[in-house]
Amino acid sequence: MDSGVITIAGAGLSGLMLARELLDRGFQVRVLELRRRVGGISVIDEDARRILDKLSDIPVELEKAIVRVGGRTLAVSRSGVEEVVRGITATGFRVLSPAELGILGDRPSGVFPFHVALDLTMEGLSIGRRIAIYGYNRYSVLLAGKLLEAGAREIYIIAPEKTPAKTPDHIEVLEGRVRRVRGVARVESVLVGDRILEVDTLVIAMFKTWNPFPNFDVVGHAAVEVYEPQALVETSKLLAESIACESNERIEVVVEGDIRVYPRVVRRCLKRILIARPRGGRVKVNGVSVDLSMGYAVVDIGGLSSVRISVGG
Amino acid sequence: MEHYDVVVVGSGIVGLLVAYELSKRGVSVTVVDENLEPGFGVSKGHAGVIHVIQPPFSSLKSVLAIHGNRLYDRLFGELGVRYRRLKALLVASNIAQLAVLPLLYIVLKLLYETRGFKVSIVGGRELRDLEPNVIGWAAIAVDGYAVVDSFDLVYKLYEACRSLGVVFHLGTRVTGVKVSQDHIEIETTQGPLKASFLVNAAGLNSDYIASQTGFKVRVEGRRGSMLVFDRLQVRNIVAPLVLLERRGTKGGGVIPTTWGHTIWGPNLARGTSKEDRGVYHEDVAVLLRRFGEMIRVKGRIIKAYAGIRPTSDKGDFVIAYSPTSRRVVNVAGIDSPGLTAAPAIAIIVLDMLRKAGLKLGLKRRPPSLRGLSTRDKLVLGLSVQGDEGVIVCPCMSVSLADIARAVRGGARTLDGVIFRTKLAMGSCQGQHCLGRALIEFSRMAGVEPRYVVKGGEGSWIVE
Ligand SMILES: Cc1cc2nc3c(=O)[nH]c(=O)nc-3n(C[C@H](O)[C@H](O)[C@H](O)COP(=O)(O)OP(=O)(O)OC[C@H]3O[C@@H](n4cnc5c(N)ncnc54)[C@H](O)[C@@H]3O)c2cc1C
Repeated sequence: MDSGVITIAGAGLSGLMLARELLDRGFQVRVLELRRRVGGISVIDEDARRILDKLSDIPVELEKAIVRVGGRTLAVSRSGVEEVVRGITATGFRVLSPAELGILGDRPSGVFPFHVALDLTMEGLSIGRRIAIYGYNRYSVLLAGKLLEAGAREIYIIAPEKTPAKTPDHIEVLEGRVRRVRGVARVESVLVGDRILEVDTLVIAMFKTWNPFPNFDVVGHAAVEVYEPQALVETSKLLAESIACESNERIEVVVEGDIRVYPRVVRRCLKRILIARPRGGRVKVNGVSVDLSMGYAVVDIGGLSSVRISVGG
Repeated sequence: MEHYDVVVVGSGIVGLLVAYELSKRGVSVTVVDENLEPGFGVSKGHAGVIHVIQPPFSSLKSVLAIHGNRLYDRLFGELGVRYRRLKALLVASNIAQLAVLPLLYIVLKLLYETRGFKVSIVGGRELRDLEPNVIGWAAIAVDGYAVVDSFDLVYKLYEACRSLGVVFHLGTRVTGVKVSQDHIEIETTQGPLKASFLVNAAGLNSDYIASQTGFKVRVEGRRGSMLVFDRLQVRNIVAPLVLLERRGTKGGGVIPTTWGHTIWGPNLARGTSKEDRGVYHEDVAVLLRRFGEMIRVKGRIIKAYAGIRPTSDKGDFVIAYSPTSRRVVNVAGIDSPGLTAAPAIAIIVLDMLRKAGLKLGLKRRPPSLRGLSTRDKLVLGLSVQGDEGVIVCPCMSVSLADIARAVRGGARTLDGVIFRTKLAMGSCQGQHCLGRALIEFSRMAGVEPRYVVKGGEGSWIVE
């Protein structure tokens, strides 16, 4: 593959947005997508769809996967194999595995990672009747709505942490941790705290960032745990700005606590950075209090020579 | 009624190897298994280690393990199965273990080297070079172990058997056996079958099949749980150096798989059940305690699973004719290291059948099954095109062509595809591929998605 071309892995909201931002700045880009559709997990998100609609003119090579084999990063498709020299990961969240979440027990059919539940539902297939979704966030709520539309009878969202006072009125939200799955052939129940919930399906909707291509830069959900479409758009804009920087000079960013800063490497020419913290709250940026109740904020750092961020304020 | 020379009950590693060796000698064989896929019994949930010897050293187990171990190199070569020879390292991680190391070294040297397995001491620096992720003072190394891609082994055997003419009755449970003077009739959920000889290789159920032919043996289930990490942590099998392992603390080893993962385990749980394949928090705690301090963990836990060992009341493998007829050979209580011993068990079974009157022909050449997966081709730097280039699972580089090969190889369930191709077994545990895999498998197998099952009967995926 031409080394002057930037290859973007993944045609979700952040990948497409990044393509737009880079094209606008005169870069050559190509967007590769594993699936036969674009949009990633944003396809069920109305707010994101409005942005996606405006990106529908970006050319995407569908059914083209990026894989890492024997230390090489390859783009593989029907038409052959190409080595990828310069790429950016926009492959989205990784769904936590049951074992990682401490969910043990039997291994019946009916335990789906979020993406699989979404893919099957998008294909018009029904993944179950009584469904527990583990994880309380924007995407689990959206999926719950979609599953109800598709004919699911009962849906429970299980929130591992304390939930805010106001929860969606059409879905039952239970607090607790899923500890076991029981079922011989198909899921028969899940143990939530000490409560047995009789369901035939468990969807895991707990996410982490993940970059499967360590030699690539990274954007969107693959880079930061945020749940607002606008935050994804911001990561794409920031990365495009950063790539366009003439100089490699960096500014120092010191972070305390469970806060994520994007991009990870902040070039001096960058006027803004994104600060993320899924738990929300407030942070102090060089002494100035910033509200993170949306889970993220984009703050101005123009002219600063170093940035210090800490929880509180 | 269908009539065969030999009916084998059970398509686990033992049943498959017996069928394979018989069919190579021109014997007409049928294999009956209640599962929809071969090898979905005990042979699905083991750790894939080819062991050396097993205490007590005079046991049938130990003798057959040594023999089986030696037979595997040829077998793996013949079938083109993925495996790797390696050492087992017993690591001293604390002073107490270091103190017993010299004594244990002498004992093991005596016991193992007389049986052909080299034993050596690995010093601290050498250990660090050999196993950078292992924390320890020194170790005892035992040569002659191997790890095998056990699904590759099972499915290659299955394909080889089929091409040698073995007839498989899968999804068929044996519900009764009638032994007559000159033949055997077995009742199954799909109708009766007739054969001149019966081999009972029914794993956890071998006691039931044995009882049908008048042979008494009790088989109990002993659960072992394992954790899987998505990266290699070791090059050899690594275990703590302990003199005696008791139930509850026994925990197997840290095992590198042939496909780049690491298995911790298996442990030996308290209690006995033939049904409960569940993983419990206390089992996981045992494994984390046992290995947590000696391994610098690389990667993350992607899976926890359990298997059940069929342990006989004799405490050893049982290979015996039924008292009513020498036309029935029972293979019961094949717990660990049954995978290792299986080729040797097959040789004994063939010999017993021959002595009971079965005619064995000359050995035929087995079919060549060598073929490359898309991943193999990419690793070799070859180009791929068409369906070979349509990647369904990016973590393990599994393509549409790989799924098609699995279907041609006889996959009838989604797990059958997964185990044959390694689809969904990578770091992302199927999040990007399982949806598409279900749809493509359904299309290629000509089965509507709602009739596709994950593994067993009733394990529907979509409605
Ligand atoms: C946790 C664990 C780890 C292990 N690790 C190792 C290891 O690392 N190395 C090693 O050498 N060994 C290991 N073992 C042991 C090894 O897995 C077994 O010894 C071996 O798989 C037994 O194979 P089998 O063919 O006898 O039984 P199975 O694989 O159980 O085959 C028996 C088959 O019979 C079928 N069947 C039963 N009843 C009927 C019926 N009535 N009608 C029709 N079909 C029937 C079942 O469906 C099953 O498929 C391990 C075992 C466990 C549990």
